[in-house]
Amino acid sequence: MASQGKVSRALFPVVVVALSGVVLILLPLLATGWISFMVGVPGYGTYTLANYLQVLLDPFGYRVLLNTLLFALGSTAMALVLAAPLAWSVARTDLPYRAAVGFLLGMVLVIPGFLQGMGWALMLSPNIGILNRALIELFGLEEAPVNIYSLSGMTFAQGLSLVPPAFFILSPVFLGMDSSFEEAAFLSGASKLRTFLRVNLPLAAPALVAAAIYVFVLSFALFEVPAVLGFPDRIFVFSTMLYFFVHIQQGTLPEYGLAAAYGSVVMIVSVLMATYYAKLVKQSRRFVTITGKGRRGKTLSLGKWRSLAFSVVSVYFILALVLPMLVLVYYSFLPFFKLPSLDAVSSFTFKNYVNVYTRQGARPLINTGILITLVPMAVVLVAMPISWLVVRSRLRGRFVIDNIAFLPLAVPRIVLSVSLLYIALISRNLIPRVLRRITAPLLKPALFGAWFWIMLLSFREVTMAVMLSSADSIVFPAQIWVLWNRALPHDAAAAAVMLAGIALILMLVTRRLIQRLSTPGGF
Amino acid sequence: MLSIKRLTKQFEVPGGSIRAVRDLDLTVEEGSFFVLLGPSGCGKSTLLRCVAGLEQPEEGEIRLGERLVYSARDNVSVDPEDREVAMVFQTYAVWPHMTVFENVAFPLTEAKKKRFPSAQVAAKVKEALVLVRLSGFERHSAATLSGGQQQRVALARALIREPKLLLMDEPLSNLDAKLREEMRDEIKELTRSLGVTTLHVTHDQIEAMALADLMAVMYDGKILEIGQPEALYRNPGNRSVAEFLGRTNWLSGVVAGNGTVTTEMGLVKCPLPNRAGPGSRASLGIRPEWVELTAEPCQSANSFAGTIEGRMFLGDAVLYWVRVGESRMMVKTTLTEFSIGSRVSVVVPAERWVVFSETA
Repeated sequence: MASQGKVSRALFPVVVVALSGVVLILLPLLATGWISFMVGVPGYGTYTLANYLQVLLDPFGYRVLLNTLLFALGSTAMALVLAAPLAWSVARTDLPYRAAVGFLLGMVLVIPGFLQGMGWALMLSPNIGILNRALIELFGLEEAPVNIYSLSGMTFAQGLSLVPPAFFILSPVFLGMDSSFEEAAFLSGASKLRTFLRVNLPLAAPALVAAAIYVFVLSFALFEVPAVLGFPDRIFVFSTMLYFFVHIQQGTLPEYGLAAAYGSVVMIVSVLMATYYAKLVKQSRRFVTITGKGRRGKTLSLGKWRSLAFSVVSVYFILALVLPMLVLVYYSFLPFFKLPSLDAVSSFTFKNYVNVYTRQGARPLINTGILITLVPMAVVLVAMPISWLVVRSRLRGRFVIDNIAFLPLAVPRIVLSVSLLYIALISRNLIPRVLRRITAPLLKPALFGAWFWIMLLSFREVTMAVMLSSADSIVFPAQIWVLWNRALPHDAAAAAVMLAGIALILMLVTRRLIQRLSTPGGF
Repeated sequence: MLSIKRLTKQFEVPGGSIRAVRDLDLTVEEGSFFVLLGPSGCGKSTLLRCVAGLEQPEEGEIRLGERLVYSARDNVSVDPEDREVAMVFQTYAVWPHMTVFENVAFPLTEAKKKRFPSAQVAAKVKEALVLVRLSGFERHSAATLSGGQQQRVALARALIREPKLLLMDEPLSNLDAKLREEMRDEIKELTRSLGVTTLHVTHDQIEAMALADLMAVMYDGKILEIGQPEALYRNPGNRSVAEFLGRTNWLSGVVAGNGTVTTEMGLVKCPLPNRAGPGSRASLGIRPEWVELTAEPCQSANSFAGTIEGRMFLGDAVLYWVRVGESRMMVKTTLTEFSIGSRVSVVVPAERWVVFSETA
């Protein structure tokens, strides 16, 4: 075993894999820094500070910065205001259908945000939005009452889709909270409201702030919704501006250098916030003591608030999932735009679904299949040795490795923590039999959970797919993006419905597997 | 002060329900220190939490003084914050985001009823901290305190409102042995001088006997026996109670008449229960410290020849295992001179035996 800073021979492969993982993470980030000092065609560029000068001086950049801040702050606030009470109610109260809430939030997470963006565009675009048109006809209005192609529209749609990540960060915090803290307050004579304000809330505060920072960093870099809802009226945030820079406009070269310069700035800010986030998480663990006695937090009765809470939850899911998906389904069956009517329903056709296939064949689906098979393997293989080194070894510099692994928030923390646990247990029981008999069965659910989770996340990954894919390597989500941008909303809707359908199936299979694996005797 | 009638509390578990408290009656007198003793899972903590209002029973009623705080029949269930009882938790439940002062002052400043002016709060907190010997810790963050100090804060917080009833849920079980004894003695001293009615839950029989004015031994959701610690220890009503309160040597035999029982050790003279006629089977129990050892052979009744088989030094006493005929006896004594293999006489005073009829 590695102790006192020495690396034993047995550890060597672990270190090699971990270090190559670190290199793989660092490489693109370092490359970004390098490119930011270049101008011209990639490979033939010259070194310059011009990019940073432009970042400093261009008023357009500052306008985008302001947009991004408003967008990120707004959607983070919205996500947290919804997710915190939701996570608390699911963890600690008798809210009806709690298990379904978790599953539906998983669906919202897995369905790419730009599908929701498309749904909202089709409902509330000023020209063709179904809801807008209906409102105009109903009240005899001059123009569309709501324009989703606006900063507030973007913020609204994004806020809805950021609820799941905030929820999944907060719910273990509320689950782990020692309920004797609040019971002690009750028995001191404090009312439920006062207990919440003086005990529950301050205890959860570090975790809430941490979740807010996490979601903020996330929303700062989000691309999908701003792309769908921002491009039509040319409202840019950082991510869409970068996309704009590197995609060839008419008569200009892609400006990699400028994009990289902006990217570096964002990266530095993100890393600073991420560091602060990590610090807060540590602090919040100190507060939220998970007691050894294992008395689970008592389920609080919502009483007369139960139906109100349930209505709020329902409205959220209607806005985040049901309405956007419904409108996409409706669009996917229409030959051309019609307002919902009997006539519209009678004209329903499968033509759009056939089109999705005839346009590009099975290539996008096959590519997606390959992607979701390989990515989890790679992530688990790289993340496990890294986690192991950080938690169990005494290798000097292991904290540096940890921080590097944290750099791309793209590596979901849930995966890291699951593999941390896996490694922590494994390394304690190096005796193979113990491993096979006890540890592996204990960890199978966690490991498989992580595996399927990454699979789902790679399935829904749009941003990188859109940025990186070519005609040959196109994956399914990127295809939808292409169809949408070619102004083929009906084909795009058909593809989107298929994507959502596959996501649903994958989610159900995953849940089934995890349940089977978690019950003794399963598998 | 506290009266519980026919209380039943069950928990739903996969595949059925567990009755944690079964049809239980209990009365605690004003100003007395009452201890519920029992193994983990016997329902003692659940009972305490029902009194606090943290658990909702299914049947029965609970009264605090004249006030009905729970009744299944009349559909009464007073919220915990309105019951005017205080509680000390096993996990201390001292709020880590507050100072010691804020923790202790909380019941005065945040309670629904009886808010106090701040000058009075400061004086009362000071007084409470003197009681639990934490003067000068007011500004310390509660998160930085040791386990023992946190428990003192929890105690001060519970006492500051001068509760009608103080509930303690295994408050000492997370402390190390030495600290546990110190805190135990302080709790006894404190509650006696304040005269607060206390209901205390523990699985530690020594703690229970040391603290209790009156105690109840609980098993499987029911109370086996209630009594004063000494009476229960000397004269337990049944074998389970005897076993909960300390180690016991058990013999089994047949009543021979004339106040004697024939056992594998020989003829034993002991007080017999009324119903035990000659020929019936009986269990005889005796605690290790009531058995005497002598080196000389002894001719008196209830003395038996034996050999030392095991020896364990405990500091203030020595525990011997003595072979007597077919059986083996544990003997606890201050005599240290015997070693393994020594031949001894075991003398068992007749009045020290507890005897139960064995029912077939």
